[in-house]
Amino acid sequence: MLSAKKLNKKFGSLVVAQDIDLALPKGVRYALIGPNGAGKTTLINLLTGMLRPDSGQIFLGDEEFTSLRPDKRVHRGLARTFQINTLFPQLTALESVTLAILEREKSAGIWWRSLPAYHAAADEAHGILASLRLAEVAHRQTKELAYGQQRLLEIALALATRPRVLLLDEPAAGVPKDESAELFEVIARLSADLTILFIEHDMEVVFRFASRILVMVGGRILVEGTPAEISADERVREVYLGKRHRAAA
Amino acid sequence: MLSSLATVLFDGFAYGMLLFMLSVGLSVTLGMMNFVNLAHYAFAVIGGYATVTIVNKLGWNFFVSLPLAFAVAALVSVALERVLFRRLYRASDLDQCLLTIGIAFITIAVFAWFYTSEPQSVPAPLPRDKPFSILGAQFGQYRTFLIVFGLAVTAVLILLLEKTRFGAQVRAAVDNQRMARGLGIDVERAFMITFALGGGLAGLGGALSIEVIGLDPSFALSYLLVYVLIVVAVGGLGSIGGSFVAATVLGITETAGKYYFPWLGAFLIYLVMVAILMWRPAGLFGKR
Amino acid sequence: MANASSIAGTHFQSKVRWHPLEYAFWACTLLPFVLAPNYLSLASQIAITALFALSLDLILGYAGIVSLGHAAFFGVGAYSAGLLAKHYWAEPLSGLLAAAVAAGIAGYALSHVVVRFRHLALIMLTMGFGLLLHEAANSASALTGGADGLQGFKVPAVLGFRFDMFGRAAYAYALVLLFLCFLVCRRIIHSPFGLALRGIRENATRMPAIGAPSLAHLRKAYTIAAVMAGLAGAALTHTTSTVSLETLSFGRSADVLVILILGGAGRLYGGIIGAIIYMVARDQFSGINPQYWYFWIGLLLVAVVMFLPNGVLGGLSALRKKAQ
Repeated sequence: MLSAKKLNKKFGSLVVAQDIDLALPKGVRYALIGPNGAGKTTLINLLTGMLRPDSGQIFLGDEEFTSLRPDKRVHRGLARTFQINTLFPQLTALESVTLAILEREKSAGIWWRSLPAYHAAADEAHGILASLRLAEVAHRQTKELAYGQQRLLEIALALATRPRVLLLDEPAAGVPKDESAELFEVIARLSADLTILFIEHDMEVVFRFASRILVMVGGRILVEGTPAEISADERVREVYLGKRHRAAA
Repeated sequence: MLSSLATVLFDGFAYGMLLFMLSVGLSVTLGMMNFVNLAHYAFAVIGGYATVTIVNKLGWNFFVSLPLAFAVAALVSVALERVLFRRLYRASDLDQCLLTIGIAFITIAVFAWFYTSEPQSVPAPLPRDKPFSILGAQFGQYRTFLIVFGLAVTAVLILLLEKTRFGAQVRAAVDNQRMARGLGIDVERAFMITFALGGGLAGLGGALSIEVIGLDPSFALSYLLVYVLIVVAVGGLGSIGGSFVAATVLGITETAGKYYFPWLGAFLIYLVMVAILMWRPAGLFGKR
Repeated sequence: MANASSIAGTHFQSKVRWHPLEYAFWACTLLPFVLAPNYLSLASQIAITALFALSLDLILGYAGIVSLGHAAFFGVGAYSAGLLAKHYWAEPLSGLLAAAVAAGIAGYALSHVVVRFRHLALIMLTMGFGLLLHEAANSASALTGGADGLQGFKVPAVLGFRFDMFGRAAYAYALVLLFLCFLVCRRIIHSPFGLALRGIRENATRMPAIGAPSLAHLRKAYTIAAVMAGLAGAALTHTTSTVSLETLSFGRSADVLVILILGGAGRLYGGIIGAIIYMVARDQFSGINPQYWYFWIGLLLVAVVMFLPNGVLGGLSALRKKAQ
């Protein structure tokens, strides 16, 4: 579904992405793991067009969109969420999600018709919020929502674009452990056709919800495989799991 | 023709030195705190009126009044920084603009109250009718003084910023405020001193410009504000070198424009500014 | 599902509905005809200024673009209407159309530049374009009359109502124009586009990530705002039968910004309330001594920024929340 060939990106002399090759088939749940500063968020920024690669190509399906604007990539079916809440503080949850739906339908440029005329969009937004257990707070301003609810709204906004591929940048960042499991239950229930890549540090969660795992170190993809393969991989143990085991011991 | 060109360049350069002194403080403080201070030129007005008062009321020498103009403007700028500005460092650009425009308006009215809105002047500090003459080109004594003085100020500023511990702190704060704090630099204190220095320099510029541009309460708003902002924006925030180049170019362009294309007015200057900003939004020497 | 539908639907409906206070407010705008017939020309100036502030609110209050050069469009509208009246015909409605088209073209052209910038560069560029146009009009005195302004034409009447010295027709004309433009703005605010503008103001980073062409939205908003500012300028030309260079000045750009902030940016009535307070106060204070007007307006600005960050209307709504 989503693939990348030989992506490279440098900030000055700092290499943040080096020869990244990637192919995410339809419906697969990928976990992207790696130590801090490995370039995980940068990879999402490159894929979604928020950063421009120095070289390399990105494809969605058969279409190359290496130089396509971020908003146009969203219309082609590539959505993302942010590690740090990137929401609309003074819009209500319902307004935010409705806005995303209107943008998807390309009707957000219409200034001569009143919003109540778009009740279908509002209903759809309400449905998305309900599916994420946010129906009760749909009418509250985003800034008044609890932190965990804001994390869910991040996902709701991405879902409203009807993505084919969804990139989740630490969806549970800052969420207490018991809530984070709940949040991933929600993610796991999303349509089976949807390709998902998520960044996550909690290995328990990763091994429970990912069908495949990508390990990044120093701007490179070290290895890619099933959870069983990854946990058996010596290199991964060394750079990533090894450290944890030692720290735990 | 050639000699008139030399005179124009010379006068423009002297004018540029004035603009540099008026704006360099704003450039550095903007670079440090991202604080859009449209009231910066008010310090120039304060310095100007300080000199007018000292020379005309007390009868002191013009050159003696200069350090006092500097001191008064520096004091007022620190007071404003402590009382008002520091509450707004995290506010939006718009709020900063509005507050400082408000202070600018108040300054205008206060000086209009005490000094009337008539233009003020001081007796010529240096004889006007005895220019130096070299190869037929004439160079006014006062403007020669301005250039020498302006270059000296620039040199002192650069030495201060490049060679002293304080300068290193300021540069670090302009570069990356959070990092500077992390290194244990007292950014607030560095900023206060910079603010005082910048305000004082503007006051000095205001005093020096009486003889060249004149002084009345609202001239600053319509004239200085725009020119100072142009220097800062075109030179690039936090860059002394950038301010120097931008001020010099602006001074010479303005003088040459008045001499050769008087019908163009300030059109040329605005055009150049807009073009430069579209090309490099962070200014010629700006990093951001 | 039926239940959810009604909930989601009413969410927007309740926001769109007219508040009783709004009816009362517009009814009050008719009072000057009866209560203050000597102040009708001031009232028409207020209505024109309110329209100008309303147009700025669209880009500043809703989309979050700071502009220190909005007078450019006011002036383009004023001069277009003036030139048409002077050289061709003095029928004002076609003058409004001409002004709207001219200001719209200017706004559309400038929008391509302006929406790409932020912070100081944006402030300087909007100010720079404003100053450029001011200087251009000053220099092109053959066309514009230069510093003396454009004179020597008379707009006698609108739709048969004479613009007389009492200003009845002038106020009615300005008020109707303001009200119509207000209706348009109100519709924009409560449209999908209005929601998108608020989205840009609230979080410009997120917008592309939900598929929004932010720059295209901003260009459109900027153009619409320019058209409305142009209409305000044309109305001033029609009601005064002169165009002064001041319509393009930096002072006018700064004034309208002050007015909007004073009333409350990002609120439909902010610009209108701000215009009423500002213009009435200026009229009163100027009577005493015009010199010190700046002092009060400066003090007001400092006070609003420090104590009333959302303007008079924001302060009132905060008070109401406290009382509840």
